[in-house]
Amino acid sequence: MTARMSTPWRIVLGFAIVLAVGALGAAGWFGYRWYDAAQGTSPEAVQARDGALKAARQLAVTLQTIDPGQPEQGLDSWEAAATGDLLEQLRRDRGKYLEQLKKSPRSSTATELDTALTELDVSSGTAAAIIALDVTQSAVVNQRRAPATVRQLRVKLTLSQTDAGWKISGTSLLPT
Amino acid sequence: MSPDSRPGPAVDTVGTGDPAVDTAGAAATETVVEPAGSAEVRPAGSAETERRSRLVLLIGMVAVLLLAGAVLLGVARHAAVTNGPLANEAFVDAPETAELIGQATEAMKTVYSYDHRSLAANEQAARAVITGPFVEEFGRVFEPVKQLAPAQQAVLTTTVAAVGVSLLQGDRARLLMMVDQRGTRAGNQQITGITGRLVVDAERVDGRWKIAGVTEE
Repeated sequence: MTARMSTPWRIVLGFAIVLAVGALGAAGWFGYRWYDAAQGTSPEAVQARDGALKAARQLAVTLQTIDPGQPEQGLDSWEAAATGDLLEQLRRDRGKYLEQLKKSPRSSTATELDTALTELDVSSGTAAAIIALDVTQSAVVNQRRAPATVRQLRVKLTLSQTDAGWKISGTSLLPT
Repeated sequence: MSPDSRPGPAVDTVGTGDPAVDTAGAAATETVVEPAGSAEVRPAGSAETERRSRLVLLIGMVAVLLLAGAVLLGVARHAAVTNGPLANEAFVDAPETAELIGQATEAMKTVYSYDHRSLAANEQAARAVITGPFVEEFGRVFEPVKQLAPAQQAVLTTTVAAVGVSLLQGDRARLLMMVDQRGTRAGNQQITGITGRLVVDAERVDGRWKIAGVTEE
């Protein structure tokens, strides 16, 4: 600037510069904090985790639910919840399950208490979960339900991402 | 430099609401009052004044924009971290999740295992990996153990069969653990096995995950 500035101008300009520099610093700081928080957290991973968790929660219940009055529907639900090895096994043993339900009918319902993922691999679309599941079963004798028994299960699941969302590819129980 | 040309006092007067510091007010003072008497302003002051006004206005606008940006970033980050997509970093931040699982598992094994021959050491080790409300709860549970275990020659060993993470938010976390406990009394005469489904609250204290609460499902 060619001209010497008067004092009020210097004050105003100085203030404006200080304000601008301060604002730049603040924007930089918050920008860094944002970057730092978001680092490594891809939206795909969040989506995969939440999708796998929701599927584990719902489908674990499905696989423990059967109404001997409607065995075909029950088995269809099981197969709809499954993929991979589990789906193959369910299809292979479908006839056996139907026969069992006919011979000794037993109703089963499940309540999910808590579910958590134990593994998640976003790139391969696989996950594993554990579920605290209370299963209530009662034998049906002469169209009547016998007193129910409640089993407190510790379910382990493996899940795979399919075109129709996350499904269960394997299930086992931890000993209780 | 004369004292009143330093930026310091100028900034100070902002808070007092001195009109001289207000950009518009100062510009008005300059154009209306100063040109007549001030030796510091050249005769061709009006063009110069306009240039300066623009400069100050520009810098002022930049400052306001940057401040607005800073506020937006800050608010957005806060919202994302407290209840947005970054609120739960479980499995999204893989190394953090692995560290949580490892340390919380070790802590649970430590807290729920003891040997009647080493109760003092067991208690010390357990107290090093617990925090918050669980400290009191542990005391309540371990007090009878200290009294009864020596006579019963009791040994309790806890293992974690499976562990999942449902929440990892900053220094707080929630896990689901399937634990197996194996107890023996008076030599290996009686062996008892218990299995559990536990919801574990963990808190990171000084960089280490500790047990803050345990609830049975």
